[in-house]
Amino acid sequence: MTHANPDDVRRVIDGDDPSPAPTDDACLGLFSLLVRARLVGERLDALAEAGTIGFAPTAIGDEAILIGAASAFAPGDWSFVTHRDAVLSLARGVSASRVFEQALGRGSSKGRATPGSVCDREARVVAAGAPTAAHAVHAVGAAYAGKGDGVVVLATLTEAMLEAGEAHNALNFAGVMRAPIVFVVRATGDVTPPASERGVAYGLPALRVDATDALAVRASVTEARAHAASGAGAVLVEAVGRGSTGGGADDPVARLAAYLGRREALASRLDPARAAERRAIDDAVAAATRQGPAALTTNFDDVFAALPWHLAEQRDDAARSTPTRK
Amino acid sequence: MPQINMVQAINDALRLAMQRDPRVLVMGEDVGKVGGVFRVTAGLHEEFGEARVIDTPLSEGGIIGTAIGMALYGLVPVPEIQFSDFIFPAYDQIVSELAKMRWRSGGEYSAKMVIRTPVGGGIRGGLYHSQSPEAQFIHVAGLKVVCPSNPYDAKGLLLASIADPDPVLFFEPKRVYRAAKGEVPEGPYTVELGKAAIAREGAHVTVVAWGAMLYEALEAAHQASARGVEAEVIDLRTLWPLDIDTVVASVKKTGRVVVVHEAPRTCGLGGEIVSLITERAFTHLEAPPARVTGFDTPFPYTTELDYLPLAHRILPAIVDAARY
Repeated sequence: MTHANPDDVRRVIDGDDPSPAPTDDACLGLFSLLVRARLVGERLDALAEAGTIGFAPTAIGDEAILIGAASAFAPGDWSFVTHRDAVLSLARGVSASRVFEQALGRGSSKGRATPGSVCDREARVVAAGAPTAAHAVHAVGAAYAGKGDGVVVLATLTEAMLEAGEAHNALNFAGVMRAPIVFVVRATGDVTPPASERGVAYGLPALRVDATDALAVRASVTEARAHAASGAGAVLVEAVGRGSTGGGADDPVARLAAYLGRREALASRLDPARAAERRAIDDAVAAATRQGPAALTTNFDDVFAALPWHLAEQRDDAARSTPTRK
Repeated sequence: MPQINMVQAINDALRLAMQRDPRVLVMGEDVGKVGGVFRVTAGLHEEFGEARVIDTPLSEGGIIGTAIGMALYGLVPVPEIQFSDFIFPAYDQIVSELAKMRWRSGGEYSAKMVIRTPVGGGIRGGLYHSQSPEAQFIHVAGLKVVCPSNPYDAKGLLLASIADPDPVLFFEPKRVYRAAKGEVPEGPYTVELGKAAIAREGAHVTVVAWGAMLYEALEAAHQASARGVEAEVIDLRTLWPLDIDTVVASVKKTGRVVVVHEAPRTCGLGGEIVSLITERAFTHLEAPPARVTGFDTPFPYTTELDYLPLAHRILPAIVDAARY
């Protein structure tokens, strides 16, 4: 795999990329996931605006990157993401209701981490504690551990996180350990040197791709994953540009819809798919809301595997002094 | 039974753990081919290979961060931080990530590992090779903290730590790495976490100590005995969660307590121990609880023996408590 030319940004939609186009069903599946990611983001924003949740770290406009990248991975692969990237988990088998459950602090989330921090063992998704790039170092360790199992790890970063010391640790250890990992970096394209060149400095081949083109992201990340899976080590994929909403040329969902709409077999299937996703989101929010909030005393669980004496005392104190919550 | 020192005992525990469980691996700066600056990992690289005895780049945050990822995946890393003074570049990974992983993921994930690191002064190492930062980790929810004082406990506590489901910081008192010798069984055994040991029985004053300072407490107790004061010396072994029952039972018996540690006094573990005793045994106390500790200064290079709470500083505290 050769390094990216900084002037070269891969485009499939309205580009001249020679890679074979995905099947209609694969395209429709990707479209549905992009729509779902957009709707989840918008609903989280609405919940935050209404004061129902504390805040909503969403990635509206970045759906092509998150869904395009995540859908390029195999079932046994792991993903390490920041809390802004919760919708990525939708493409790793996590349900929308689980994302809302987490954001609302209901059900299995136990009301612990802040909105967006979806951790799901079955889907092998690990959300970062804070957006400091610390999670990218974990991703490298997991990739090292999974080497013998054919597992490849996905880690999302942003251009800003690349400034953090932990990003240096992640890229450096990935290079030294030849870890099977793909770093997907969201980049404005305005920073010098670009993320892709930083990857090169650590011995990582880097690709550049249009951040609003889900098909291009998926194609590049698929190649990157294959490279990592071959034993050749880590790859950095720089997703260049800022996505937006509103249906314009920078809206990754609208862009994919317009492209797929030109396929005869898909034109009539996009609107029903969109409507189905909309209905499913309403159901997902309702299902998550039906889950009860966590009781205060459950905060003392999971600090350690078993409850030590000092936490048992504090839990009992809390139970005595706290009025019952609805 | 062979007489070995603490370095050999810890090396023995690591080898046994790696032989018994293929998930266990060792990683750190120069732990592989070199065998560690204190030789604690000597021979492991030859026996288990570079995939399980990993020479890492010189970056503590990278060491602990990658170890967290390995642990999430299901391995059991035993990373070494070359000196506990160098642990702070990894502080964010330990307190923000490792300690909170099970809790913040709602129990979906855990990241068990044992972070081994030499601790304490008395080796003429100066301010960056001598500190005792245990309290800074005990203050963080989700970490267990262990500090053995002798080879038998070091091996048994390390094997127990590796078997434990929670992250453990394993502080190794480097001042007695080779000076502390004792009989250690050859096969595997564990010393239960959370259990203190009564290193010396006595009826008049309780002394709580751990690590290298245990020997200073024992020496002071020996000298106090000549003055008619019999001190009971508790070797805490697990610093957190500490063995509250043993400590409180002893203080209820003696009514007097002296806590000894190398770390600076303010917000040190001694303050917490005194608070716990005061809450639980207030009416049994016959004298104000006392602390004999390092000072609230950086750890000095040339005057380290004045800084450390050695026997000559512990003795008057024991006698004063007895005569209060």
